[in-house]
Amino acid sequence: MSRSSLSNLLQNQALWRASEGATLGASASDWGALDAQLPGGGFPTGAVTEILCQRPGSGELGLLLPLLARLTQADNRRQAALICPAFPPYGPGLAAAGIDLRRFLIINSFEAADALWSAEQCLASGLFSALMLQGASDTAHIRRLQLAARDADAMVFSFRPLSAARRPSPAALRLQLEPGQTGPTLTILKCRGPAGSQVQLAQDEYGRAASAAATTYPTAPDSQLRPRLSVVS
Amino acid sequence: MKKSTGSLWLCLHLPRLALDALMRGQSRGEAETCIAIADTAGNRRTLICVNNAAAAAGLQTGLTATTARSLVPGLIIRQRRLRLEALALHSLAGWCQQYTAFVHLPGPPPEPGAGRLLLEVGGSRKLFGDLARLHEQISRGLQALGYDMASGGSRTPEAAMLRARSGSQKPFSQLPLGLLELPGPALESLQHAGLKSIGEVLALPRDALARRHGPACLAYLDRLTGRQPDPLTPWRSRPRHRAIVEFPGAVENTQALIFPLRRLLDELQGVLRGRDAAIQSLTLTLSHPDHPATQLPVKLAAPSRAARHLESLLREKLDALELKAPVDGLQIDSGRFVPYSARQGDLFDSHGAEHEAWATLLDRLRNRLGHEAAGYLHCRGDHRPERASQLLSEPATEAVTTTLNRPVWFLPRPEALAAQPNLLTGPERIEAGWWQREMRRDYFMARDAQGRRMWVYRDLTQPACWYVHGYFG
Repeated sequence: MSRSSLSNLLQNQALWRASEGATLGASASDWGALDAQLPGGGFPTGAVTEILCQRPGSGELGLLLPLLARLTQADNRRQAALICPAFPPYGPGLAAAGIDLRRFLIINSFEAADALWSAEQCLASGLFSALMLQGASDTAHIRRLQLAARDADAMVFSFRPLSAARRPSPAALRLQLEPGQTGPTLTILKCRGPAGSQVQLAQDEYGRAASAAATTYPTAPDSQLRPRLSVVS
Repeated sequence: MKKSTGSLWLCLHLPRLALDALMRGQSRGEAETCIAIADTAGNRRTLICVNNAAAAAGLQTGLTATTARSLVPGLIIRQRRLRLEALALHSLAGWCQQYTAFVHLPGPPPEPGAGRLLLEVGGSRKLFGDLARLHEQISRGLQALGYDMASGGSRTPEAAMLRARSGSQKPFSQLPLGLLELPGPALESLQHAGLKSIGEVLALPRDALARRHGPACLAYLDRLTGRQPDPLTPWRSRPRHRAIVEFPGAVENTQALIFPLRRLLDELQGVLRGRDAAIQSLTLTLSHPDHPATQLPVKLAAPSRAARHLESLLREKLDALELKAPVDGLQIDSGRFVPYSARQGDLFDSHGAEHEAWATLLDRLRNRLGHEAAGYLHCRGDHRPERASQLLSEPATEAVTTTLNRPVWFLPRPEALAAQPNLLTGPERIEAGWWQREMRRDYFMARDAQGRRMWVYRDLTQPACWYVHGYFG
């Protein structure tokens, strides 16, 4: 095989590399039904996770609250950052969810380029265990974030609109989130390793995990071409 | 006051201060243009300093400006700026405090356009090893800042100054008597008497010297030899720093500003080290010919004195800047000095490096995005939802715990709803009295048609009006 065809092959995003999967760690989302479906039992660490939803405020931050509460209360002194959020975050609500606001940095920027730059600065500093950002839309940017997240061993959560589901992405995990009258439904669009594909998070009216009812559709691992499944509700 | 007996003095003689104070923003290699500094005495405008290129072209100090121009047509002649020379000397005095606590600014040397500093280094020798090592460090440092320097060491201040000007290693007594800083007539009459070296002058009988050349002459020679003490006042540093450089030609691209900027920041770092201080703000000013100056202020999250950190912050600003006009000079102005705390760079404190990394990160973010852009949420004990959360630059000192049912996203401007949404919990009555802006609301948790959980309220002062005030996820 010539060198050029090999490098072409390596650039193919659909290619799953055993070396990546082997070193991939995960951190529990604390939503039992979701963790049960995700490879490694949680969100991948040292990687980008995309959360796709139609409109901001659909539960994308709510999904991460148990994880963020755990991370900001951990005694390793690393922090979490929320970059370029769609709405202003609200202190009392985050504090009520158990987040230590002293270790939750908010970065506001008006331009997508600044949000990406901020994320890279934060990751390069090595001071963060988790980063959330709105506005990463370019494949090249996500790949850069993916590399920076790996080097920093941090979790990066990129909030994107639902329309991005049709385009491929180098993110390690892609979740489609749809709110519903009894709790959000998550569709796993892409992940590394074998996984279920769809799960509904049963919530009580306060957004806390109620008895988890999970429905699983087994599919081939890590396929960009997986058809969208109908929403469970 | 410090007595000269028992001390060791080092004089730093800057033969081209008038030139270097203005033009030290240029690296030696790039200074291909011939530059000279001129001063006006009476109606003659003569050169007092020439740069290497001008000297290589055959120009020397003392030529009139007109003659010099006719010899080298491309010559740039700048008028001497005494204020900038004084500013440069003060910066250097502060920079020298890294090496000794006692710095003195004596009067200018007889050579026009030159300057000098006196350092008491008797105590510093212990710290820096022998005098040669100390001298080499200072010499290398000054060269890196763009100054030409000759130095001389001796037991008395006058002798150190004389030796620095002589540029010779000969024994003291063999140096030419013209180096003595005597009043003009005294020096002339000694030369007319046929004397040539300093040794010959010192060998003259004291009473004859005083009688023929005045008591000031004898007093000088006594200070020179150490027979009489020479009490000097220490230079007092200032709590701020300012430095200015000019360019011989206008600079059109910000990349070319990095080199001079780095020199100014290196000097600032030295000044701060000498004071054991740090700064929290710094302003870089770019001056333009026929245009108002451009100011680039930088605020720091934590006091710093690291030249490289300050440089990276200013570079960021320069990269984002579109020059509206060519630049013909740079100026930096520091904020007030603050004590440098060991925590900022202490290797033995395990959190020191982390603290530094935090300050560096926040500085970079705020420098590019604005000071208000990065911060931490604080919960305030105000029952009005609009005032319960606040973004401040520093994190809170204590953790907050609350059990209130509040959203994680907040809409500063509530959005009106067309109809009553699907309510989940509530109501929670929130009121503010007439002495504040009147407010009577019933808050509920609700879902919109898609299932998003919202924080909504009914405005009781305007019945049947529903608003979204936040989202829960």
